[in-house]
Amino acid sequence: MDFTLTQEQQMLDEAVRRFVEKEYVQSGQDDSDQEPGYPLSRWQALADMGLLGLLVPPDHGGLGKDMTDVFVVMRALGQGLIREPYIGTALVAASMVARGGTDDQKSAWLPGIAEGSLTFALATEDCDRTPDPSGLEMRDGRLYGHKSAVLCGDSADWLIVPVSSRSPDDTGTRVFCIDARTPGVSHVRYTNIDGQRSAEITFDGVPVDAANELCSGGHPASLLEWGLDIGRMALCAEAVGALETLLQQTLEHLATRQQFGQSLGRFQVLQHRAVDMMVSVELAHSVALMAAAGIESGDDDTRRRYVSTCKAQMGRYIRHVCEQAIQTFGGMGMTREFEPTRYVRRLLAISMTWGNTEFHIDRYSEHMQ
Amino acid sequence: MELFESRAERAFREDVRAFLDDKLPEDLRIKVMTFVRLEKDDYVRWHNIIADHGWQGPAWPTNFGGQGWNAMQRKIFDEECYLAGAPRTIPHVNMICPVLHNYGTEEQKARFLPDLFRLKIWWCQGYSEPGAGSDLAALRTRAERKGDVYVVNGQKIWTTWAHWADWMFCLVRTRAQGKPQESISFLLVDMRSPGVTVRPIISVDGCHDLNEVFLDNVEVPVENLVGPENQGWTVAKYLLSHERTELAGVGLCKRMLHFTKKAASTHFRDGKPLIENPHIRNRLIQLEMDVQAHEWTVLRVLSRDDTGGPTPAAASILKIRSTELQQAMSALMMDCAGPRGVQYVPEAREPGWTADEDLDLFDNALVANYLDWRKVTIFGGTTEVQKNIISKTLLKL
Repeated sequence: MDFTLTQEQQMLDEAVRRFVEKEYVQSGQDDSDQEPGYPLSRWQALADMGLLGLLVPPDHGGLGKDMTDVFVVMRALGQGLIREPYIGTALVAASMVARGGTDDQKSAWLPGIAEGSLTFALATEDCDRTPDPSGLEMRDGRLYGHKSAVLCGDSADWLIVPVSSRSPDDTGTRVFCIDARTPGVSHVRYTNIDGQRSAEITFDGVPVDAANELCSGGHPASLLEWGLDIGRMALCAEAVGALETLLQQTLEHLATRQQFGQSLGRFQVLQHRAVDMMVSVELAHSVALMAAAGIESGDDDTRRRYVSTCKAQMGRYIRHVCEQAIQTFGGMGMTREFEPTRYVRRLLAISMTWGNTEFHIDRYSEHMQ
Repeated sequence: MELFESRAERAFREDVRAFLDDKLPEDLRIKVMTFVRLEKDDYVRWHNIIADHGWQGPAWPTNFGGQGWNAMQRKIFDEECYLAGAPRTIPHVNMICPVLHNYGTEEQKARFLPDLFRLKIWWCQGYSEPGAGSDLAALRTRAERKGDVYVVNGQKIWTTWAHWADWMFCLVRTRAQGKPQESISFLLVDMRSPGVTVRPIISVDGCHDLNEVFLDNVEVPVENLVGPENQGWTVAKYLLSHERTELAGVGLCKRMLHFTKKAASTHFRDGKPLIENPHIRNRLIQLEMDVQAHEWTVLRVLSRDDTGGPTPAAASILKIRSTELQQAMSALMMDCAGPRGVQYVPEAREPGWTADEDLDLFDNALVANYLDWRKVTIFGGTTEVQKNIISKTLLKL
C-alpha cells in the first residue's frame, strides 16, 4: 500500500488548491445570491481545468480518473466551501451514465458534463415526515410523486430519479434521467444551512422518455446505490479539507488570542482539546481513503461496509471537531459571518447528506460480517 | 496512491498464515484465546519457534540480526499473530536490542546479543520509581562509582515480570545535581546480585505481573554501563522511540474485537444473543468502525515509515487511539457478561488449574480483563503525556 500522491496527483492537488485560494478564499464575497446559486463563470472555470470531466471516460471528453483522484480534488475543494453541483454532476451522474448508460446516452450527456454545459441533480431522497412516503410512481408512462432535499435541484438541467417498485407499471426499481424543464416538474427552492440550494420537487404526470432510462434491463438499483456511494465518498473527502481548514483556524486562534495575560494555547486543557480535534481530523482522512478503497475494490459488500463506515464515522468526527471549534472560539464562534462558522455549517450539511451517522450504522448493520 | 495490499504483501501474509497454521502450538493458542495467563516457558517456547523458523527478531533491522521487514510486513506479521491467537513477543527484547546495538560495548554485544530473541536471558525494565512516573527524570535511584563498581541504592516499581528476570536494564542517577540529560546513566543489573529484592504487586485483577524491585547496596561492575556515564537519558529516549512503534496494536485491536463479538454472541437476553440487541449491536458496530478507522490511520503512518520509526507525534496519536479503543472494547465485553459476570476465579487463569466444568474460562476473565486493561492508557507514557508531546511537537502550542 502507498498513500503518497503520484506526481500527477500532486500537480492536480496544487492546481485545485490554487483555484480554491483564488476563487473562494481570496474573493471572500458571499455570492450565493447569484443565479443559479453560484457564479457560472466559476462553473466554467472548473470545466476548463478538466475537473468536470474527472470521471468522464477519455473517449467522451473526460480524464477518466479514479477514486484516489476524487479524494485529492474533493479534499482540496473542501478548503473552499463550494456551492456548485460538482459532486452530483461531475462525479455521481458522470459515473452512473458512464457505467449504466447506453451509447446514445453517453454521447448525449458525458461531453456536456465535461465541458460544463449540463448539470445533474440526484432526486433520491423521500420526505420522512410521513410513515409512508409516496416516492415516485409511474402510471401509464407518467411520473407522479415527490422528492425531497434535492441538492441544486432548483437549477439542474437533469434529474436522476429512482421510480419505486410499487408502481403498477413495473416490477423493480427503475432509474430515469428526467429533463427538469419537462411540463409537470415543479419545485420549491430552499437555501440550506451552508448556503447551498436544494429543492422539493413535485412530479405531476411527467411524461417519461424510455430513451432516458438508465441501466434498463440491468440492475438500476445497484447502479444508483453505487453512484450514491461515490457521492458519499466525495462528500467525505470534501469534509477532510474543510476539517483541516477549521482545525487550522482553531490553532491560529489558540496561538494568537490572549486571555489572562497569555495566549490560549498555553492552557493545557485547550492544548489537549486541540490534540483531540487533530486526532479526529486524522481519522477523518483515514476513513475517506478507506471509502475510496471500498469503491475501487469492485466488490459490492466491501464497498457498502467501507463507505458506510466512512460516512458514519465522518458524522461523528465532524460533530466533535465543530463543537470543540465553536467552544474554543467563544462568542465569535456563535456569529454567522465568522469564517470558521461557515465551515461548521458546511460540515454539518455534509454530515446530514445522503445518510447521517445513524443511517449508515443501520446500513452497516445489514452487512456486518 | 495504492489503496490495496500489493501482490508481494498478500504473498507475505499467506506465508505468515502458513507458518502460524503449522507451528503455533494448540495449547498456547487455547490459553491465549481463553485469557489463561501464560507462563514464562510459554513465551520462551514461542520465541524459539519463531527463531527456529528463521524469523528471529521480526521487528529488528537486519544489521541488528533481525528480519529487516518493512513497516507493512511487520504490521501484517503482528496482525496475523494476534488473530491466530499467538502469544505476544516480549517487548523488553525489542527495547534492549537496539540499545545494545547502538550504544553497547563490544563485550556487551558479545555477551548479550547472541540468541537475545530466544529469551535465554529474560530482561526487565527498571524505569519507574515511586516518585518518578510520568516525570521519569525525577528518578532518585543512585549509583555511586567506587573503584570498578557502581554501588546502587534505590527502588524501582511497576516492574513487569521482574520475578522472571535474569537482568534488568535501568536508569540510575550518577550525579547528584544537574539536568536529567547530564546526570542519569543506563545500567545493566544482574538480578541475582546481592542486595536485589523483588516483591510482587498484585494487580487489580488479582494477578501477578508487576513488582517492586529494591536495590540495596547492589554492586554493579562498571562494564555494565551502556553508553557514556550521565548520558542515560539519551539512551532511554532512543529506546522509547522503539517501544512506541508497537503500541499501534492493530492486531491486538482486531483480536479484542473478535473477543467482543464472541462475548456478544454467547450471552443471551430474552432468548436472543446480545449481538442482536439493538443497543449492544449499535455499540459493537461503532467499535468495529473505530477499529477500521484506526487501522487505516496506522496504514497511512506505516506507508511513510520505511525510513525509520514513525515521528514521535504520529506514534503518540496511534497509542492514544489504540488504547482508548481497547478500553472501550473491554468495557463492552464486560457489559455482555450478564449476572454471572460478577463471579471471578483468579486461580482458573493460572496454569495447572483443574477445570471446573461449570466455569467458562472466557467469561471468567471478562470483568478482570476490563480492570486490567485500565493499564494501557497509563503505561508506555500516559495518554496525557502523549497529548503533551503532540501539542508541543505537532501543533506547536
